[in-house]
Amino acid sequence: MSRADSTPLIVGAKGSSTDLVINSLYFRHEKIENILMNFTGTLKLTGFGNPIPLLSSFKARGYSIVGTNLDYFDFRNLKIAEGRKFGFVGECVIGSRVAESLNLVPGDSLISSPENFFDFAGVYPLKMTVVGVLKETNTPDDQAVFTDIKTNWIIMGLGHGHEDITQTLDQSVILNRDSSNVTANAKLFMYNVINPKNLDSFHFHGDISNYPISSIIFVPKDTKSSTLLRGRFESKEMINQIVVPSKVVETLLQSIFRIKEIFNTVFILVGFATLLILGLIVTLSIRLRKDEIFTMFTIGSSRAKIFEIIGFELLILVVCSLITSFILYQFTDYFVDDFINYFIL
Amino acid sequence: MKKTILLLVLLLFACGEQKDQVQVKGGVDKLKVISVNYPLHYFAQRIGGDVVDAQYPVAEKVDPAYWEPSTKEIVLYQEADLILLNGAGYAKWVEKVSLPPSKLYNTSLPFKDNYVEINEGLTHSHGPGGEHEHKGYAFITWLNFDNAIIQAEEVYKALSNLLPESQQTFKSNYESLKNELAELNQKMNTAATKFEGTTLFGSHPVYQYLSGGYNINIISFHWEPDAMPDNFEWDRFKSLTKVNPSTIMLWEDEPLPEVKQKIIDSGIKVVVFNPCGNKPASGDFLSVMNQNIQSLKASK
Repeated sequence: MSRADSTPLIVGAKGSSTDLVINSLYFRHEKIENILMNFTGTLKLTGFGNPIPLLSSFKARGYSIVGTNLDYFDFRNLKIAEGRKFGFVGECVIGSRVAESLNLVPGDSLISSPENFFDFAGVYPLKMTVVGVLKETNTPDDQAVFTDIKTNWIIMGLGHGHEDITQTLDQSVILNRDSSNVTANAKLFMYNVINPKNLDSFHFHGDISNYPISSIIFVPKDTKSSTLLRGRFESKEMINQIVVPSKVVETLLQSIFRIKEIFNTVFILVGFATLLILGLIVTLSIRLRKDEIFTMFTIGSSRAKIFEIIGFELLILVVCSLITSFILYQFTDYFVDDFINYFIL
Repeated sequence: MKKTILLLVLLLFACGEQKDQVQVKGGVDKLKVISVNYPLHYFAQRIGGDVVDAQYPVAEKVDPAYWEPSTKEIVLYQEADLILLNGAGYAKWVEKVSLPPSKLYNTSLPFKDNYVEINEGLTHSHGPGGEHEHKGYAFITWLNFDNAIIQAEEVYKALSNLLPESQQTFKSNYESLKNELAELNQKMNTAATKFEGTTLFGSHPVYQYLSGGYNINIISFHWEPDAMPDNFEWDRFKSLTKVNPSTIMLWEDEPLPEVKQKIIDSGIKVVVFNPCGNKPASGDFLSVMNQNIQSLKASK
């Protein structure tokens, strides 16, 4: 909840506000529609505050790659424990948990995971250089790989680096050349690592303001600016949706607690019904064992002894049930976090 | 003994405090403003005065438009309070590095619709992206002094936004600079009238805004002051002199003596009109521009 409270506003595509908030705050790859980068410019022009773009749709060795800009570090007050902030495209800064679990330090490399191993014509993995490790914050930032948003676009295949095909001496990469255009074939080698030597060759095609981002964290100057901006979205003056994360998370928690209350009521009712059934079973069982009890009584057992025997039988049943319940509880408890993460969140 | 230890501890604390005071006196509170080229650095210095710590890490004799910063220099930019950009695609390195957008300030944004478009090369195609070319804009915007005044005004606005308590100082400094730039503009307009209807050659395509701002027709080559053009370029030069008779060729810097002689032999005067993108060896932005105008006037 504290993370939601510390994030004033989130802007994203229309759709599930919960998915938008979870993607933007916890970097879970929920299926949300992307918006265009130029919307950050639109928000900036309002003069109400500072927009911080986020693009989180790729992973590196199981950890989310979060494309953003350096304003995010100031906004979250993230400090560098080792190394420095990213300065060039192709560089990344990792959270403390990522560094610890993958045993990475500044100077090491981290490769983005391909979206689909069977898509040979798809996006190439990019070998990123780790230039910094963040101080531990006990937030989802500890488990993220931060890059410049341009690096994320390169991972997406929207930007790339290759030798200058208008100057190349290797004619086998040229498919067609005329006075105004040069066409390269698939042999043209695309760099999968960015270093000072090939940095200049990296470029983006088209207008990068039309490139995708997942969402925007908007930091308003003051409460008035926040209200005015939300008003513009309410009045449909602006497309997309704007949400207050604390309200969305609060609604989510309320739903979870409401579900919990329903479950508790159901459990009480089921428990009561189980007790009734158990009582019925015991009563019927005693009735069925009427002859057996009569025999015990005839051969000299006292009434107390018969109660003792039946009571002990019931005790064995209860103890066995408790042991089985405990084993089942331990088993479900082991998987409950993953279950909630994958099936509920 | 106890007294001695106590005295030592007190002395240590006293030393620590003294150091902090020195740091504050050393200008910790000054606004760190860093620029991508010398004209903006000069504007920041003039307008910011003592309130601003204007920084400019580009080494001398390097063209800031094509400069490649080191990691150390990038960190310097990242740590500044304000980063002044020229806009129009000037300093392409900015696109390939990570700088905090909240600190970036594009000083040419008010006249972005008047950027001069240039074609940077052949179109090419590879992969699913289809045919494309790398288009760009001419970026020596300040050679039209009207633009320079707007850029200086943007520097004033950016500084005032960051430090409203010093706005009066910034305003008076800006007014003084604006008057000097306006005077420069007036001189340039007067000088340009001499070249109405004539064509000038430019050694390099850096004079687009000078040409557009003062109605001077300039045909550009791609010649460097420290290099001898190849035969192909000389042939182009000869053929162009036949079609567009010109008497003046503008150079960013003094060309090689043999190049200069060859041009003079063709009946064309060499005039140095330094765009002053980087810090001059002597003088400042205004003195260099005054010298440029003076040289241009004297050539006709």
